[in-house]
Amino acid sequence: MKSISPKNQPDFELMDHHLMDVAVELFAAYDVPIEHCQPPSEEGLGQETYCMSSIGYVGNGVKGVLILAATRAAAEAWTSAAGGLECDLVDTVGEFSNMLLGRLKGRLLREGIPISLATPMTVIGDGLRISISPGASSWQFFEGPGWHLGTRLDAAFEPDFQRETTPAAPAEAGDAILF
Amino acid sequence: MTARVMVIDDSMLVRRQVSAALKTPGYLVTEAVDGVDALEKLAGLTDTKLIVCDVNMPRMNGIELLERLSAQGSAVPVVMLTTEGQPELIQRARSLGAKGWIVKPFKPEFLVATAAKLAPLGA
Amino acid sequence: MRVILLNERRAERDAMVRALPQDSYRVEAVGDETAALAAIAREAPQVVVFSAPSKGGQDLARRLRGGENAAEAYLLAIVEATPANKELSNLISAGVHDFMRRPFADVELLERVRAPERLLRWSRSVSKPFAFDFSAALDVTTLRSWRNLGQLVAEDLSEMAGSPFSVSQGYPAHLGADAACASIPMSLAGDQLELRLSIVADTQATKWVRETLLGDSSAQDSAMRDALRELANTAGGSLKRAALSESITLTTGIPRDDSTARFPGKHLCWSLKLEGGSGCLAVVGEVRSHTNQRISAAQLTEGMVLAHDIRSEGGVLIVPAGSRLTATSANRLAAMLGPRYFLEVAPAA
Repeated sequence: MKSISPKNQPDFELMDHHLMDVAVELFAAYDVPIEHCQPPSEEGLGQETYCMSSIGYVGNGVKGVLILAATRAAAEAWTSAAGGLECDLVDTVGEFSNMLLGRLKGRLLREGIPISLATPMTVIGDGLRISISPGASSWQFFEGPGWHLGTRLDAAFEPDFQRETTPAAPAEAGDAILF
Repeated sequence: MTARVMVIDDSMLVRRQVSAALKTPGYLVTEAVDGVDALEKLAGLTDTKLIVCDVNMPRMNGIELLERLSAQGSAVPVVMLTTEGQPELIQRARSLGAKGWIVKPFKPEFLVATAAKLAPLGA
Repeated sequence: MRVILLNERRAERDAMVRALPQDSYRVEAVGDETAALAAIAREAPQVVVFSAPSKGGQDLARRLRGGENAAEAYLLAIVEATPANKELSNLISAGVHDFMRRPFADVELLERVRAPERLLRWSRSVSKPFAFDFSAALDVTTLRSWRNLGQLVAEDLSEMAGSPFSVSQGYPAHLGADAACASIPMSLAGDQLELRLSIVADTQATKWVRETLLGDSSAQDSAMRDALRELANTAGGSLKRAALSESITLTTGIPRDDSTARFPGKHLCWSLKLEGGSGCLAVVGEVRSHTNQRISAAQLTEGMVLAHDIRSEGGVLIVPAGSRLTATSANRLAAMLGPRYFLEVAPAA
């Protein structure tokens, strides 16, 4: 599971860095501590991949996909943490990918990269694999209590992509401006 | 010598605070509760030398009032007095002819200094 | 979820009712088509489970779906173990979503009735005419400005009052349900969220408002409430300007008198104590989801917040997303755009 992160693509690195943070944050909100880790195997989650949820996004000059890959143990643990039942695994993984990208959206908005999200699509099966992305792509892996999860962030940037400039600082209370 | 200032705000407290600040140096202050009320009163008060106006008001907000005054060719300077601080909004007001922008809660001395600059007493 | 069960076999029908947990499903079980159609007409079901006759099953399905209120219901047909040729495809053509073969276990019935919950949720989302952002969207509670709201408001109110406030988190225990309260709504229309900031004053604080802010210890109650509304307005401004620094643009509404009956306990709260112990103000922040409406321009009214830009045919921006409509702008847009122009708005707060 190779990561392809073009050199001199600081915007993608920024997105990826925020993704790592929000993944930890999201699970912490469910009292599930996770840690960033090395890929469990050369093939990432490999044959243990049981659920994959993908959710597309688009911004001004950038578009891509967030993929959430989970082992069965992970899907069951998240479902339990979210108060769901066995038959809700697919839904739960989809919802987690939705929440993950939602949190990333908030972070990116503050970085001048506003994005809109699509509907998650989730598949389940044993040993799932996914095609390589043609653009920038980065896998990250996390370890939870007795399970692993992987995230892959894909991004394709338009040649003229630019982060939106931070608006001029708003006026403060008491300021008086004469034109 | 005096000069009339109209303060437009849906909050009685703000109208009172502005009145108190401007009456001290000698301004005559008229109050209006929103843009619609202000337009009606301005039609009958031709000696208004300055308007101090909130942005967020019912019926007609401060930006809409600026649009109307601009369309009427009003020469009365308008200073916005508001909790808003968004640069785009400030630029919009400026493009519509506003002469100043004061963010609440305001310092009375700034308001008085602004009035002195735009509508000096004795002019 | 409301489930209509149509099964002429009484024993099987009773067993099906027992298999569906009462705390999750409101089941109405009937023995014939007439009763089923009447039940559908009384209250729209989300799911209709029916025993399909070996001949005419698809006609029954069409009649069940044709009933008023059933257009979006999920149809689950019960068929015999070896259904006749084309029976299943005929049922599906008639609008049946799924089927179960007899005999079926309780758990299978439960799983198949549960399945449409996800589908119904997504179909409601995608059936709307707008390209929607399905995300969990912005988590306002992660904003620095939201987390520091108490401090932000205290600083601006201190500026207004001319004296400092001390800030602590939590709702003052002594504030009763009849405490004076004013609030200001703030819209984040694009994310279908509304924030509401409230200022609550204890008796000492209302006295301080009269004496210090109004300069009149015998000021009438209406004047005191006006001042409290302005404090809420100031608080809204504090949050709004701080949120701008985090690239979030909130649309403020008009402050109003409010009631403390909604809280405490469920919202983010701070206590602001005046120096010298002359009263206490509570600052309460709440976040609510607010489903946007899609309406004709002719239906625009004051207070609505535009969820998207309004542009001319040439793409020129007329009114930006996030604008709060006044009566003036609502009338102007209605006249400009006409009744056939539909737009998405956050409802008036």
